[in-house]
Amino acid sequence: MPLRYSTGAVRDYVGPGCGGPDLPLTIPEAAFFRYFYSLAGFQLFTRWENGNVWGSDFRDGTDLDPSGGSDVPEIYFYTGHGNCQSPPTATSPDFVITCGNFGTPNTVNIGRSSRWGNGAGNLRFAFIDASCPMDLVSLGNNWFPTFQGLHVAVGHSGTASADTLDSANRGALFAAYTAGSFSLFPHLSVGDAWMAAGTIDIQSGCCAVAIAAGNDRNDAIDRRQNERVSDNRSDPTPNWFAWRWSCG
Amino acid sequence: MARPRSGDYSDRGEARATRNLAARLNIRLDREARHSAEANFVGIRSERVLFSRRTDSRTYLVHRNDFGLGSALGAFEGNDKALYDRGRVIMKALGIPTSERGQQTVIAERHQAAEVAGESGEIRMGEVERGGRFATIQRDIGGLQVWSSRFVLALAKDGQIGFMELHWPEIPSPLLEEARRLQHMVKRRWKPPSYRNGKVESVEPGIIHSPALSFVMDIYPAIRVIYGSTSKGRAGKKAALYLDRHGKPVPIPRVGEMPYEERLERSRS
Repeated sequence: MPLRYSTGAVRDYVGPGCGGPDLPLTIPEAAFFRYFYSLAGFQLFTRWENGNVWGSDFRDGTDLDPSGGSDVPEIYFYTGHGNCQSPPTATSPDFVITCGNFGTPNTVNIGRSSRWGNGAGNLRFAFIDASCPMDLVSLGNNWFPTFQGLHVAVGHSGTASADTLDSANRGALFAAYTAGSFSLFPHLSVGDAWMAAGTIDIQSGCCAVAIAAGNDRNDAIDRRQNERVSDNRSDPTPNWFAWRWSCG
Repeated sequence: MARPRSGDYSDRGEARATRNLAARLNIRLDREARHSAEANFVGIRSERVLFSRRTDSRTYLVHRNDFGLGSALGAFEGNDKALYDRGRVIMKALGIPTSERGQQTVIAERHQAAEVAGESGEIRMGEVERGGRFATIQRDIGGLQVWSSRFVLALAKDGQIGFMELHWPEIPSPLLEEARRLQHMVKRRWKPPSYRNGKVESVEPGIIHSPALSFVMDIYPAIRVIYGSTSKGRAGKKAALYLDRHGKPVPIPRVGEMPYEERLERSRS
């Protein structure tokens, strides 16, 4: 049974009055992600854009919505706005910010609201291409609790002046490196691929971050370094976390 | 460059040229490594090593599964200069013009781990440790940034290539001319368009193109305008517009022939 994946891409923020500038490259970025994942044989679950991506998709309790919840598939790629503090502290929250037709509020406080892999949840890989959704200083508060079966997550750490740029190539290359879709492409682990692709189109000082949970220290480190989306590893018990980062 | 020897354009000649190039780059191939061609790529791969190149672009990829911290071949321990030096030798061997080397950076990865104690939930943080390093070189043609080109290199402990992405396509001269025209416009105080909820942070002339791992090669000269958010405390990712001489967005370089996707509307469950 092939793994299922979803993409959620939000371009339109201004028209619906959600604040923040529009992000025109998110739509092609998600399309490129799907191109490589479908080529590799992964099964598309949902591919929502703009107002069809809802904040509730990322909140525990509603993230199993069969029409697009992020905890239904095994892999979710989100591209859109997040939020950066300048500078973040250990208690600063991390965010996904949608602009949905339903499922409000649009602002999702990841540490407080997101839990992946718990109950009937399936998510193994959370790929969050947004503004500062994974600040290094607050990983313990914001990301450790989200791992309830989740294997590996990727995002960025930064500030308002060390942020990600809207980019089609970042998600495209990350997908091409991780999907294993083509024999003459390197097939990288999630962590390696994000270190190579996550540093594309970011401002100086912004960092690509990949974090994994593990049953013990060695397991967490092994997943951080080596786990590929196609490995079909079992869900870890999140006793340990290991993360890596590289900064532009 | 992987040119066949004196007009030998046969499969065997192509395979030999690719193997010779690998040898020049000190890429140690396994005995069982096989040459193959698929889509716009040709290369040699075994269980442990991949070396491939594009047939439509100056693009080379190398990956060894057995390199990196904790792996059989380990990670490079030399200094940054030694890493750059090796990179420059590789670029020269692959015919990359010296004059196009732009900003050079060594990106040093960092690692950390933490235990979450069972009942108390107390977090015991480990020390920050050094991870692998990779050299990156950006592309700059006389002040024109080629944002989608890059050279990324990580080495094994013994100095052989562990990972490499060299994507440096030839830019057709009419496109370079147009990029120069955009450069001229920017120097003459070209005014970027206003953008709702965004304030201009930078304006640069340059070129965008399809990424290294792709099946087509689209190239567009563009002025890149980066907009920071003006909305208070929210919505941070920065908009980046790639505009032509008329201030209109250029097409987004593709990765392949994109399939038609029907527009969907989601209804509340």
